[in-house]
Amino acid sequence: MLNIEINELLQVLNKVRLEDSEKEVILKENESFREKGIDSLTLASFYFAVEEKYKVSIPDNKLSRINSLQDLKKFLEGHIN
Amino acid sequence: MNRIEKFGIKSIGTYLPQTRRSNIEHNKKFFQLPEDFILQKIGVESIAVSGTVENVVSMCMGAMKDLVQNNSIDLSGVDAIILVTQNPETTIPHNSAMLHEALGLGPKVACFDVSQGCAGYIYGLSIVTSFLESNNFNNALLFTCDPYTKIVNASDQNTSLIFGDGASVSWISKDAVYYPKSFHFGIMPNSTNKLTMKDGHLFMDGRAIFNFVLKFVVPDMRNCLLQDNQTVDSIDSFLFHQGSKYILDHIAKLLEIPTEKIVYEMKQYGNLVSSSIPFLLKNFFLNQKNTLFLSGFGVGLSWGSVILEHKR
Repeated sequence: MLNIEINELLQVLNKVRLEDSEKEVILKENESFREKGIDSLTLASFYFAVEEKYKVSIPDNKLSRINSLQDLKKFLEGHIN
Repeated sequence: MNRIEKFGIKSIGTYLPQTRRSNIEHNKKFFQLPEDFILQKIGVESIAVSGTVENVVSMCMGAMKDLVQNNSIDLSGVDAIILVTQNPETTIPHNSAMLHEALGLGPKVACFDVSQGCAGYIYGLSIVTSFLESNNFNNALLFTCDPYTKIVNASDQNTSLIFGDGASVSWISKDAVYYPKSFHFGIMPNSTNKLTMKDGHLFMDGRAIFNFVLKFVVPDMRNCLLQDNQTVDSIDSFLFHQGSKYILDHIAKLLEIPTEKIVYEMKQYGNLVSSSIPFLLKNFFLNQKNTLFLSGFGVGLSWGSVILEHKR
């Protein structure tokens, strides 16, 4: 099973934020995206970038269970060979 | 055949309801999102809201009034009335027939509605120009109007901060100002539930729309440029459907379009669905000889793109 570093995902998120002219965010692995003020449009961009980078599709019905980098890491590691 | 001998857009009339609802106040009341999100990402400060007595027909007549004020148009020469809407005042009869009645025109006029949304102006333009040509007609009125504020749930964050009401009419004839080149259309398979009606209100899956535009629409925009031997450099302005500022910024980034070539005009009235593109296009009729790229995308999820050339 592929091992994905939390920092790797954080880098993708911050790349998206910088492209949107937003400041980098420091996010611990269990911190909620929403509580850290990451809005729905940035999340849409972030998930898009993650899907492109890891060649994986994140279905809508899984999204409700992805609230943090840890959740996303868990999902990706379970879906990437 | 040279496109210049075909049909194009001679003039455009528009109508906006007078009432504006502040998105800032609406956000404070319902959502408490950061103001930057409303202004910089959605890009809509206020929403144009139609009144309770206003409907598709009355708003289209408002656009018609604007067209008549700025043009000398002989209504007896109108051969066809086409209306793009998904929120007609009635489903029977078709609202283009009601427009025909309101305009007081004679019997020899073809009238029909087109069910399309944010790509509707491009679909309508393709249909009307082909229809005029194949029937040896001379003039048509292409109306657009989709008053989404009547179907939006005020407490839905995904839709109530975006959609506004407006109407347009385009006068289509051979003696035109802008002529379409090749049309490009498409639909994302299995996406009908991403922008639809649920429990009597509009439902929109914002993430799905974002992915749709980046994965399907943008690549086809590249095809459109390529097929008509155009480049981002050779296009003077890009008139995209005003979905949100965020989506326009992303299209610009992917196609490497300089910011000054993208038109943003939804700030004071919102996303006008099928009317958003004609509202932008109207401003390009005064002393400008531009090559314009038009693209609409939304419900379906479907899209349409076309390049317009100014008359020589």
